[in-house]
Amino acid sequence: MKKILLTILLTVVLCSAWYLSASAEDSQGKKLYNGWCAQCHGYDGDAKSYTDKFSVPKPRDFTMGTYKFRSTPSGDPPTDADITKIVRNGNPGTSMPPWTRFTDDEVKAIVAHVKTFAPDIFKDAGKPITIGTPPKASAALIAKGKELFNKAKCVECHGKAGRGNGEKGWQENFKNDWGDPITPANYTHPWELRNGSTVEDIYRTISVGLGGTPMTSYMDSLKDEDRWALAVFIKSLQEQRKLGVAIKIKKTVAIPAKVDDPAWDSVEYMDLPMGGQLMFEPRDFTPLITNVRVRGLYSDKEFAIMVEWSDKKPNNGADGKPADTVWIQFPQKVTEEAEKPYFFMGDKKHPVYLWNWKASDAGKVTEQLAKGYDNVADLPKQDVTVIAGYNDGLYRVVYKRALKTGTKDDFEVLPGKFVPFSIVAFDGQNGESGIKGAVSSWYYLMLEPATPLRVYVFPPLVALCVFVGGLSLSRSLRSKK
Amino acid sequence: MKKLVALMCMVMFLCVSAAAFAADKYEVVDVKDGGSIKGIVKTSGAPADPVLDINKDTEYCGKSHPAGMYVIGAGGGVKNVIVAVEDITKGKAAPKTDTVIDNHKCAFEPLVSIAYMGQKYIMKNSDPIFHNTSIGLILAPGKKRTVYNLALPNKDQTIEKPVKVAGLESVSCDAHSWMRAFVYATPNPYAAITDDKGAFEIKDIPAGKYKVKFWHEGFGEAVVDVEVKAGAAATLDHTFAKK
Repeated sequence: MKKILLTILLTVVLCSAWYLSASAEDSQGKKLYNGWCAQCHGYDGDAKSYTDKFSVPKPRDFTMGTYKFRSTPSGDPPTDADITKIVRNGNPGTSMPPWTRFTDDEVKAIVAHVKTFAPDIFKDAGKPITIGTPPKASAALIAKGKELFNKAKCVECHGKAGRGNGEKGWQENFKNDWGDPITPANYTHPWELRNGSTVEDIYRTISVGLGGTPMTSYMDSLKDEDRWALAVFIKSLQEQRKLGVAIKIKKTVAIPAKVDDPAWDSVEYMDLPMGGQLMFEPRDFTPLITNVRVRGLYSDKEFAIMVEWSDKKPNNGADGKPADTVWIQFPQKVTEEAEKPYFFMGDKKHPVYLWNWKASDAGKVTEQLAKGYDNVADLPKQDVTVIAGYNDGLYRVVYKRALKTGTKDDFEVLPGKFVPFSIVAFDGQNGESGIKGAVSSWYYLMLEPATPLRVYVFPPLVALCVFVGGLSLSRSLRSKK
Repeated sequence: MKKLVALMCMVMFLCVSAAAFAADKYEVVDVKDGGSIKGIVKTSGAPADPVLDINKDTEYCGKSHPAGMYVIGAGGGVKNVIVAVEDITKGKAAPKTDTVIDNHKCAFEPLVSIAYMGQKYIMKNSDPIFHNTSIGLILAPGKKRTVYNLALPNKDQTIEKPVKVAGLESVSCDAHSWMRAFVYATPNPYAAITDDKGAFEIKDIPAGKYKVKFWHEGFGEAVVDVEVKAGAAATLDHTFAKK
């Protein structure tokens, strides 16, 4: 009996190390993590995975112990609730999806496992900061926030209009803890704010910073009320996307001659969400242009389309990076049939015109005919003109063409008729050129038929007649009394 | 049987974790008749001190700045080398000294410093421009773990934070890419920085065999064995090879 016990004991001692790892392997958190998270974040939490080349930002490397999104002061680890929030809600605009399939206990187990990749930072639990009730936004508070935006030097990285184009945000050391380049946030695009876009989210980001990035913590240097004022001001810079399928182009007497003509600001616009070109090599898995805004005007003879997008760092091709570029695509034959050319550079049967503008030759547009991504020819015709400008993080390119050109096979733009168009845009700073860029799907533009004169003449005339008729009737009735 | 395995596992786990913990832990004891380590760090040839290009806030910061990376004294002594007895587990108490990191004239002062665990970092901005002080534990080339990243937008602003993370840390200002400094955060008091002549001295070390680490921003790292005898001074000179 003793012998048996001794043997058992020995076996146990010898195998305990193996058992230790085996039992860890059996933990629910690790099982779930290996099944659902490790494909991107790595089995060892080091983000060595299949997807690290195809995602910007990269999957988080947990072994580094840096957590970007925290509710805790600089120097403290995130709370379990912070990590749970990312697991549950995902991170919009990144490859991290929201995980709703897990029970609360399962998420708890996953969070516990994620923490084991950098156990030393979780020695002491982090204490979240208190986020009180946000003050009510008012013109005075926004003005105060704007003043602080300059005083606290937010402007130096984020730019005057908050588009992430401040000169200090563009230095060689602008990297995160993982050694990857990083850029200041563009406040005008709330959908790009990974730490959330509500006024509370902004207040939290200003207060504790973004872990492992140049976004620094202002908790010790700005008073609570000042951080709220800043948050309210930054919130006021956010643009809401106006989505749709067609943009109405209104008639005007004269199309503005400058891109920054204030007349453009009151023109109705439509936002086009952009995605990477993923159909042909080289593919763009990591586009940075997420939105293009389009608006237009037309006169008796011409129509103009303005394409507007945010670019934190303009490139004109002189700095070794490709020049920023934008194309607008139109089908060669505009019909109102359901069948449109292939949405990216057309196809053999359905060619598309490309109006190709490059920042390296900003006063020029090259007209091209594409019959597919690998079949593009410059056209000798020069019916389109362009004016372009870059101001405080924003590109504006205005294309102009006659409603009807004399060129054979060119499409005509008629009031009341829908014309399909799509946009392809390239960010040189992101190494985009050729066919590697951001694309939109097909949308429509339509010149709004001018209101006929009779609309202004007949209804008032009828109204007048009714009034006069009524008046005479009541008079005649009265006189009869 | 399963219970027995579980129990053994528990015991093993506790032992392992206790061992791991002990290596990180420093025990304060009364050091009587301790020895010391003194020496001079030299180089057989240093490159010229780099000049840092300044491209932001030039009206205040100027256009360039000597890096102060290679400060070589007479006889080849190297200034600003961190000398640390890393594997010491018991000894005298660490001094109650805080570590000041001043943003002054668009550079950090001092360039190299020692911080004691449990004491404070005092981060200061003496300039009329924005600085942020970002301290990060160096993990690998180009990789760090941010320990603190604090904004100092105004002149004479001061922020104090506890020294909680041990190891070699880089200090940077994201607004001015040329600004850098280094802090060695130590759990024990046995660390020093070489002076203008490259000399250092570490006192009151309990007798024993230790590994001493030399680290310099430009020359890199070297680990040298030393034996400290009670009441005696061990001489430990080190020469960094020509760069």
